[in-house]
Amino acid sequence: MGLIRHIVHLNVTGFAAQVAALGDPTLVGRAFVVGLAGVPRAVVMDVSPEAFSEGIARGMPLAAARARSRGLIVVPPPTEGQLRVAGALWELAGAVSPQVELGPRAHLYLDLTGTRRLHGRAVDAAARLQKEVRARTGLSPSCALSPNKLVSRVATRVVRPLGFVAIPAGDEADFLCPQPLTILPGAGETAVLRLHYLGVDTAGQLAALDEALAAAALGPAGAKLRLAAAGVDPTPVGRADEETLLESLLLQPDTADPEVLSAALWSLVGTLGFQLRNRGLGAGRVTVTVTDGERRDSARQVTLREPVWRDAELRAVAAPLLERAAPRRLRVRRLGLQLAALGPPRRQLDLFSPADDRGGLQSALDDLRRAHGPSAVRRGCALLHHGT
Amino acid sequence: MKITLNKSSFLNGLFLAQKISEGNASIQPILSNIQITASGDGKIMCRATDMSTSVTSEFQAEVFSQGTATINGKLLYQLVSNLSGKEVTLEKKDNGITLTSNKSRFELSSLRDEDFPNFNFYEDSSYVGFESEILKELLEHTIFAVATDETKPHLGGIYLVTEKNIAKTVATDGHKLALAEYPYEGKFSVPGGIIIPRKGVNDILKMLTEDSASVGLHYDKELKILGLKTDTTKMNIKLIDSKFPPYEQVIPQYQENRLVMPKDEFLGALKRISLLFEGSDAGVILKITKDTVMMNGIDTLKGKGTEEIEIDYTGETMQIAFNIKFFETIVNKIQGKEFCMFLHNSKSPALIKPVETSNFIAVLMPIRLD
Repeated sequence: MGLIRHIVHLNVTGFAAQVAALGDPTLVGRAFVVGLAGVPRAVVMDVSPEAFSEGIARGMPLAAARARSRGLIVVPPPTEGQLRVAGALWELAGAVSPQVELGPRAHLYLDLTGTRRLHGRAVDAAARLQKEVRARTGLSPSCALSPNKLVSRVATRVVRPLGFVAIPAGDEADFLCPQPLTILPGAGETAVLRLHYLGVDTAGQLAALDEALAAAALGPAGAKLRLAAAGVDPTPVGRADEETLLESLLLQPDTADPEVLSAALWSLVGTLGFQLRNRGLGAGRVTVTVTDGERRDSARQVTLREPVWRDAELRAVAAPLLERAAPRRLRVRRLGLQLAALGPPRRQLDLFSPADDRGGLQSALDDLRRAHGPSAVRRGCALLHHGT
Repeated sequence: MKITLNKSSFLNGLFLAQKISEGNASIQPILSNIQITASGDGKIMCRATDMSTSVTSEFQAEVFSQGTATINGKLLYQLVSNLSGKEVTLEKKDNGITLTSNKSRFELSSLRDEDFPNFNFYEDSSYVGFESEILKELLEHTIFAVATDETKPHLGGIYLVTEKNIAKTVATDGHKLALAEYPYEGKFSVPGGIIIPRKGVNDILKMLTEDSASVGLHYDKELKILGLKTDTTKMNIKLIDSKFPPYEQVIPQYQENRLVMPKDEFLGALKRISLLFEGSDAGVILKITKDTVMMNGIDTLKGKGTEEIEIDYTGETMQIAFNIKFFETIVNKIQGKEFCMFLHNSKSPALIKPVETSNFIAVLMPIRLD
């Protein structure tokens, strides 16, 4: 029998809304959403618990949200605050475990396996971490401890927004058994509907479903979802080299204008490049994702021989990917940039090319941003886009 | 055609030809074949080409009837080397070739002889002698630095040049450079230098395994071909028609920071540090002080390692990082118990050479750490 893993998941419900409320205490206790007021077709990016209780959800058109709740407050995304808080979360988690994964919207996973001598029982360490996150950042996360990422992730959804739950090894399937299928990662609308026709509405029913029947209903994904319903998930907590940095821009309106797309890319490169360098890392893999007006996604990726970390280099790598991902005349709604294979920034120098000393300018710009905020200095070519 | 051959001399004759024919099927199926020609005087010729390198080997056999046949080189070599008998008989029939030895009998299909490319070799009198051992040393000491990057074709080979009674080879991939030189007073002269492609160099090194003290060389300036000849084999190599970069300019001349290091101890330490990186292209940081060098390797996931070696160093305290693989390959090529390095700063190339001999130097660019 293998070592029993202790995986913690911290889930900050309404991360952007919580950060916004930290920055503006007058928002506390009021119904508000995070979004871009005044932008056509804007959607709700995050909601406060009060707004949620009024039936407003993330992804809802802002106009519909306003119609549902009169006097709804709309605040812009607190990008800089989110970055700062994410950094603090990373630091707190890193002090507890070397294996940490910080996903989008501050989903934080930690592997506490084998840390008992250092931090005591995993359940105590997880509870302390939850308390410390509250004290240090002001955020209120839900927290779950279980033998794998999937069960911990589902568990924080069950006990959110503030709860704590520990699921002992062997109880994963029992815990998931009564949960609705929609709570399982990977169970989309179509899958849930198909399973419903088979009389399967809970995770327990799916786990008990014949494997062939699950495959017949859902194809190759069926077997995976059935295992998930049984609480089986061997996925390791992402390590430093598996961590990614991700950022996207919603373009308003949809555009095929190469200049606007180029400016948007510069803007993404500036944001992620700064995060990358702040953590003393370089990126070995760059991915550009494009969502068009019909909500169709396409992505292009390149793995590099040597890591890149300066804005100009990142842009030089990402620009051809954008050209391939967004052919001419494709009207782009959302542009995304992902940096992966993160590692120490180093470059093999060339005998026949002079040393590139442009790093000095980049360092100076970064120093200004550290002193006066990430948006203190921007490239002129990044100012053309009208996105957020 | 019908011939009976001694197995071991047949294998010797086939060796180089089958190596050159190997893997050519994707270029053109006929090129994965070798052509065997039997003449009335008992002479057998095995020819093969990949259109860049062409080879012919000659040996004696019992010829019952003259003729020519083409046959898959790799298959023929493997079959013959696995036969139990000492003699092999090849007979060309209408639909292919029959190979028999003792109780073994194989009927092999064959492509049309007419499809096999026609290529010629230079007359024996064209070649001038070059000491095999020196040529081998020159090539073996520098081949590791040849670029494998197809976007740099001009760096994809070894630069061979003769100047002032010296024969010299240079190879570089832009990050490291190796230079070997030996005194040479022969008649073969390429003062302007030639670039022998990596594959051609490997073929030459295979050819030089034969027991011949001297190898004949001929440079066809017009066609950019290097011809080589041993007692039994002739080879033509198509050279890289490009300009080799001005390598002299990047060989450091500085003498101020000189470090002498024990080779085996250094390689052992480097090996241990490289275990942290599972063979990836990682760097080692050297912190050099008067009597010691601290070697540091850091992997964000596995941790870090430090090794300390006592050295003899005259110069400023310095910190410099190098690619572990490049460094290890260079030091492995150095003969003797110690090697020395000359450094300037953390962004300038390091000159590495043996302490005891002077016929090999290497230049290694550092890794820049931001």
